[in-house]
Amino acid sequence: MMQRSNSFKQSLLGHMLVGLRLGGAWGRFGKVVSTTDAILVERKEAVKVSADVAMALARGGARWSNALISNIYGGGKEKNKLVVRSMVGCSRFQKLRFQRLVAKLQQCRRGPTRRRMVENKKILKRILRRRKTWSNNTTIINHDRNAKCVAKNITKKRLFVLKSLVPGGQAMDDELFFLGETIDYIISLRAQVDVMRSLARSVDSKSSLPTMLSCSRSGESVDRG
Amino acid sequence: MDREEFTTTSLLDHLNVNYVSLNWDQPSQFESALSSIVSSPSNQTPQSDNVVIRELIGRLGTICNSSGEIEMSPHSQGYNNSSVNASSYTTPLNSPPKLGLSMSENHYQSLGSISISGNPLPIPATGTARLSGIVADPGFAERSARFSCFGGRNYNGFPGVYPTPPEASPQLLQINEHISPKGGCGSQPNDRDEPSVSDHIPVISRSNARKRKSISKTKPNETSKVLSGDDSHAKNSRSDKSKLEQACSVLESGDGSQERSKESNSKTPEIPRQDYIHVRARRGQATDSHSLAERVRREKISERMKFLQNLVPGCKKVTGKAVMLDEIINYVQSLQRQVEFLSMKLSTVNHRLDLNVENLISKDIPHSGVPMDLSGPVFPFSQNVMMNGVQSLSHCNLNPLDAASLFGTLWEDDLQSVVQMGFEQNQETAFSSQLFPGALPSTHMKVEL
Repeated sequence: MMQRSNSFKQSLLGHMLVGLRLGGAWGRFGKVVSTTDAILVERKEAVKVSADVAMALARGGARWSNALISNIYGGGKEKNKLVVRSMVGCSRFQKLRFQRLVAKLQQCRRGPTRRRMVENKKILKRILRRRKTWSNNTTIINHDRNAKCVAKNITKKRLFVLKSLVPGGQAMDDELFFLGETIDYIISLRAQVDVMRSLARSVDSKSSLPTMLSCSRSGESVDRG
Repeated sequence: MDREEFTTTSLLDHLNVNYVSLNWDQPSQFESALSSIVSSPSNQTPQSDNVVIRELIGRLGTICNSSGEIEMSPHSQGYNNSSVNASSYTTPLNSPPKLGLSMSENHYQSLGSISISGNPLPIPATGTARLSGIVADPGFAERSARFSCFGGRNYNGFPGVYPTPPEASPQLLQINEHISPKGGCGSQPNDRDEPSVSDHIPVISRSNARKRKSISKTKPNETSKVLSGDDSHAKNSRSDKSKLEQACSVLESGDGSQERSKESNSKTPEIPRQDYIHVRARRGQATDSHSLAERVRREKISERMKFLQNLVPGCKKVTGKAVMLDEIINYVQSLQRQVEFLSMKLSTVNHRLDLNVENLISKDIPHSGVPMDLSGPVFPFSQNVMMNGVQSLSHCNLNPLDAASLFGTLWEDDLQSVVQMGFEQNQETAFSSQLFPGALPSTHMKVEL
């Protein structure tokens, strides 16, 4: 267990460093000493992308990791695409695999799910209409059932929110599977946070520039907010 | 395996016999009967048209762990076409629930064999004697659990014969002879009901309803009665022996139904045996395969929710799925926000360092020939590789702006601390996601009692 978590973090760190280099988060913008907000945001984005992709790569075969990569890849930013492609495609095998994966996932995302959503909406409307009339008739009688319905609705809504948080969660219809992915995702998120924190600490202690310190402080305040 | 052969040889030749299940024409019936056995004493009324017999399910065996008193009350009712459903309710004392369950199963099946053979008296004695021995045998529970099959549609019970343990004492045999034909009713009020049931078939359904109520009411009394005074019960049962024999004769006369039952019996063993998920339906729960599977799934979901509960801090004391989900959402959001913040922090870090990182990594990491595997849980970076990488990272630290070599050593220490210290933290998170699918005992279900 310990070794696993360690090796996971190490691979995450390795991937992330590669990603940082590739994304030019440190390299390209490092040469230009300018801390305007736009560039800062861009750099932050690049770091985040590289961290995410590193996490996904380090995790490997889970559904959420594939979804995360394909989300970033299909996010529309050319630079991100480049980063992802170069991060993932270190070896030929991986590249092949990744292409297949991306094709599948994009198809998955665009094709059936949206159509299903539309259908679902139609059906849902019908059901809701029916339930409305039905519940109007029996509001007084069935308190118990109403309470159950309310509880069910709440859990359903929260599950929906959680699905939007976990990458690729929207496409997972099976609750059982989704919960497993969620657990996996949470664990690797924790590892990611650990790695990034230790990296930041190690780097931060070296940076003695006051401007950077102020920047990091502002970042902290953001985090608290 | 031909069931017919099996029954005749095993029953008649050596009484070693007979965990042959009765031919249950309807699997659901069997299961519901079993469920009733498990959860609470209840009579089975559910019937298919006129094909098979009605209810009646026996009950009542009290089994003490040490003394091993067993009481059986097979009740047979033959009317137009008689096949018998017999069951027993066993109340194991001082014994783990699983043992009790297996006991009841066995009991049940031995009774079934009785009804098939139509030779009730000697066999229940041996059957129960063995059962009592089985009670004493703790390993039996496991064996029976392995052999029993309730997951699917396969109800052929125990094909194997369990060795008769030496503990089966003559005393037990004596006790076992007290067989009351009053199925499902060891208590007095039910005894009163009985004649009307056997005489007038149409009454059955009504009397059943009554009986069920009375049984559920009198249940605790009953067991205590059986435990305390065995004699009074023995009287009743002795007086009822003649009735039992009558019923048996009726049984034998009903050849057509027996044949039918044998047909179905010969069919049942053909169903392939699989690895079963042991699922029990409580009383009142649905027992068809779909709902069973659904229940299994729900149980798995709850297991994962428990896992999540352990994973997410501050979620342990929370009860209720909605609140738990809320906590989980909060946690995930906070983690994601933390990642955002950290990436912000990293992006604002001194860029001069980053140049070095860039140099180094371009040299080291592709060199290490990392076979990055997308699917495998094995992670390519061994610690040595990383350490080497980091150390060489520090060596390559040639920054024109920073003249101090001191800086380089500091950097080295730090990154090492990244690798070592940073990973030593939070070991409790111990990356168990790889283990996760395996860690959950997905196929092994708990026995519900």
